[in-house]
Amino acid sequence: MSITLALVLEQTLNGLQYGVMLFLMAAGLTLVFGIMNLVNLAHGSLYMVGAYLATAFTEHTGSFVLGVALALPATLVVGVVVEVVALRTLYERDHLDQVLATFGLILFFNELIAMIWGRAAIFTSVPSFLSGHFRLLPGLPYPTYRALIIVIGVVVAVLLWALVTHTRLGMRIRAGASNRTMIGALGVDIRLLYTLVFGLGAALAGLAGAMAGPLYSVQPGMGEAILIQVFVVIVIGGIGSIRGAIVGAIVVGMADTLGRAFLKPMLATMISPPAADKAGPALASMSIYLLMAAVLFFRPEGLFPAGRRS
Amino acid sequence: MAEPLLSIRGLSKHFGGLLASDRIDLDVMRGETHAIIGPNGAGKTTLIGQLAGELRPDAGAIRFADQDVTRLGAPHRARRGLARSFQITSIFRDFSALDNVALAVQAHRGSSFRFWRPARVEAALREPARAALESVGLGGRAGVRAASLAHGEQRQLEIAMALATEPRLLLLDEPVAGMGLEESQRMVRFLATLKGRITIVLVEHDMDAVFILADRISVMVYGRIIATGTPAEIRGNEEVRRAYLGEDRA
Amino acid sequence: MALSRRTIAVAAGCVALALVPPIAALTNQPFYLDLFRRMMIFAIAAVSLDLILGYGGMVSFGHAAYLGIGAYAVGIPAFHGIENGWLQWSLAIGASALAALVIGAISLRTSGVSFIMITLAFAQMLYYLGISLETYGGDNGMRLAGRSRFGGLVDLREPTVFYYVVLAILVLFLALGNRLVASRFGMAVRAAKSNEARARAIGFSPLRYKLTAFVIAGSGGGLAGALLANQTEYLTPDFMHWTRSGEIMFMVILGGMGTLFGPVIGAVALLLLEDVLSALTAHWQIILGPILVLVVLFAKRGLFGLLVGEGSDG
Repeated sequence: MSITLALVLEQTLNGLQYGVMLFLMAAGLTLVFGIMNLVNLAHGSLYMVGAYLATAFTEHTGSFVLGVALALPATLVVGVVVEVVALRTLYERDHLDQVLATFGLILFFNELIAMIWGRAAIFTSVPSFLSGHFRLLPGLPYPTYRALIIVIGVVVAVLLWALVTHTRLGMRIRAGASNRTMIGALGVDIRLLYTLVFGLGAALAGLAGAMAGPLYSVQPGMGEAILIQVFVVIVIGGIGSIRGAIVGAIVVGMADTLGRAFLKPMLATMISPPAADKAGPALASMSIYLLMAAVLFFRPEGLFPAGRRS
Repeated sequence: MAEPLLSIRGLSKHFGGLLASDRIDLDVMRGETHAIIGPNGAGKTTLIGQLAGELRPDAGAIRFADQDVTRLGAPHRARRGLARSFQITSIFRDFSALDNVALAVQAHRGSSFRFWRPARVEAALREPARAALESVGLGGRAGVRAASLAHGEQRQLEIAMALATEPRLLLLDEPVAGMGLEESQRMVRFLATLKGRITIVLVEHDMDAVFILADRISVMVYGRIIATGTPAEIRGNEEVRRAYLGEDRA
Repeated sequence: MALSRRTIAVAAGCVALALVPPIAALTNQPFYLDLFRRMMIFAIAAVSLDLILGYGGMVSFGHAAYLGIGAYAVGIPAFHGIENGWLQWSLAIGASALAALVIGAISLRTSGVSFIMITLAFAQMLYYLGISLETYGGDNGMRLAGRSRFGGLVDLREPTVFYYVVLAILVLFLALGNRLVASRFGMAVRAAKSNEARARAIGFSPLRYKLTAFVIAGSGGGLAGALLANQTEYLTPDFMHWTRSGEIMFMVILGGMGTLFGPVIGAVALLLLEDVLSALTAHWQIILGPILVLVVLFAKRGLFGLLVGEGSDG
C-alpha cells in the first residue's frame, strides 16, 4: 500500500470522525462522573440502545433522518428510566458498588436486545442521499456521511460549551461538579439536576449510536467495545472536564485510526514485511492503551483535570 | 545558639485567589512547646498540612532535624520523626485500639515486607503499643474496636499513635477539639507531661490549654504570622489583642 | 486452640470439596467432578483478587487478564511441543507477575474511578493482543495440545488426580493467603485501605505495599489461568475479556469481600447459579444481570458473612 498525502488526509478525517463518536460518549460519561460521582459502565448500553432504536425507527418510517430524530428522545427516555429506577440508589454508594451494579445492567441490556433482535449483527446502510462522496480537495473525495458526523460533532461540542458556560443550567452543572454538597445546600433541586444531566448524557450516547449504525455493525455488546475506549479518552482528558473530553477524543480517535491504517506499512519499512504483518495489527490495537499509559506516567490526573475542591 | 528543630522560611501557598500562607517564617526550638493560634480561616490548618507533608507549598522551605524536607512526602517526614494528630479524628476505624498503635510502631520499626509471621503476635510491636496506650490512659481499652471508642478516647488514641513512632516533633491539630471540660483538662495535663521531652507544635483554639502548655505562641492572621513570643508577651501585644484575643481576655 | 466458627466453616468446606470425586464416582456422575474442579479454579482466581480487592481496597477490573496470560503461558509452549508443566506453570506465574508489575506501577499512580478504568483498559489491551496472535488461533483461540506434564509425579490426564491437584493448590492458596493478610505486610496493606492518610501520617508509603500485593494477586491469577487452560483444554482471548473480570469480582462480592474463603463460596455459588439459569433459558443473562444488581444493593456482606457472622478482622 503506498502512502499518499490523500490517504493520510483521508485517514486523518476518519480519525476525526471516530473522535466525534468518542466525544459524544465521553462528554456524557464525564459529566455524569464529574457531577454525580457515578461510574456508569452501562453508558455503552445506551449507545447500543440508540443504534437499535434508530435502526428500528428507520425501518418503520422509511426515513433515516426520522429514525435518528426519533431515536434520540427515545434513548433519553430509556436513560431517564434507568436513572430513576436503578441508579438513584447508587449515588451514595462507593465506586465498587456502582461498577458492579452497572455491570449487572450491561448483562441485562445485552440480553434484552438479543431477545428482541437476536444476536446476529445487523448491517444497515447509509441512506442514499448521504451515501455519496464529495470533493473535499482535488483528488480527495470524502464520504459525505462521515463528513456529516464530523460537522454534527463540532456543532454538539459548541452547543455543549455554550450550555455549560452561558446558561443557568450550565452554571449549576459546573457548580455541582466543583462542590456537590454546597449546591444542594443552595436549594438547587439536586435530583432533578442529576436526572437532567443523565438524560443529556443518554441522548448524546444515543446520537452516537444512531449515527454509528450505518458505519459499524449493530449487535449486542457493541457498547462495551467503544466504552472502554471512551474510558481511555476520559482518563487521558481528565475526569469531569468537557475540554478534556474533546482533546482526549481527538487524540484517541486519531491514534486509533491512524495506527490501524499506517502502523503496518510504517513498520514494514523498518522490519521485514512478514514481521510487520504480525506486529502491525497487534500494535495498532494496543496503541491507544500505550498512549494512555504514557500520558498517565507523566500526568496521573489526565491532561485537563476539572480541578475539584471537596 | 542551638539549631532549631523545625525551621520555616518564606512559606507560601494559595488556593486559587486565596492566599492561605503568606511568606511564613518560624523557628521551633528543640524541647519547646510552641502554640499557633489565630481566628478561623487564618490558615493554621494549611500550615499544618504543609508541615506534615500533605500539602505542597508554592514557595518557601521547611527544614526539620537539619534536613530540607520541603519536597518530602508525609511518610518520609513521619519516618524522620515528625508525628501528627488530625483536626478531624483520623484512625483505623475497623481495627482495635491496640492494632492502631501497633501499626504506628510497625511503620516506625523494621521492615513491613514480612509475609509470614502474624503481626498480632509480635511482642516487638505489641509491647510498645500497649505502653503507649497506657501512657495516654487507654490501657484498659486496648481490645476495643476504634470506631466504638468515645470521641475523646479516639483523640487520645491519635496521640498514642503519634507517640508510638518515637517522634522528635509532635504536630497537634486541635487536640482537645470536641472534648468536654473534664476530658480536655485530662488531655492538657497529659500533654504537659510531655513538655520538654518532645518538641510540640500545637494548633489550638482553647486558650486555657494554650496558655498552660505553650512556651511560645505564634499568632496567625490571614495567612501571616503577626507576632511570636512568650504567653506574657502575646497577652500584652496590642496588635494581637485587636486581631484576635479581644479585650476581655485576662 | 479454640476453633472459631470461621475455621470450622473453612475446614468443612475443604472436606466437602475433597469428597466430591468419590461421591461423583459412586453416583456415576463424572460431570460433577468437572464442574467442581472448574469452580475451584475460579475460586483460586477469586481468592487472589480478594487479596487486593477485599483487603487492599484496589478495585482492579482487569483481573481476568492474568488468567489469560497464565492460560497462554501453558498453551503457547504446548503448541510448540513443550509440555513440561513445571516450565509452563512457572512461566504462567512469572509472566503474570511481570504484567501485574507493569500494569500496577502505572495504574496505582491513580486511584478511585481512574484506577478502575485504567485496569479495565489494560486488560482490554491484552485481550486485543490475544486476538492479534494469529498463530495461536487469534480470536477463535486454540486447542491445548496436551495437558501439562509433570514427569512421573502426577498425571493431569487422570480427572481425579487433576481434581486433587487443584484442590491442593486452592488449600495452599488459602493457607498462604491467611498468613499474608495477618503478617506485617498484610497489615500495612489493610491499613492503607482503612485510612490512607493515617497510614501515610504514621510513616507507611502505601504504594510499595499495594504494588507488591498487586503483583502477588496477579501471579495467583496467572496460576489459575494455567489450571483453567488444562481444565478446558481450549484457550481463547475470551478468558481475558473484561466481562470475565466482572464475573470474578462478583464471586468475591457474592462470597464476601475480605474474608479469603468467602470468594470460594462465591465462585461455587455464581457458577452454580449460571449453570442452573442457563438450563432454564438461553437468555439466562437477563436474569443474572438483575440478580447481580440486587446482590450489590442488598447483600453486600456476602454469603460467608451470613454464615459465620460479623468480624472479619478477628
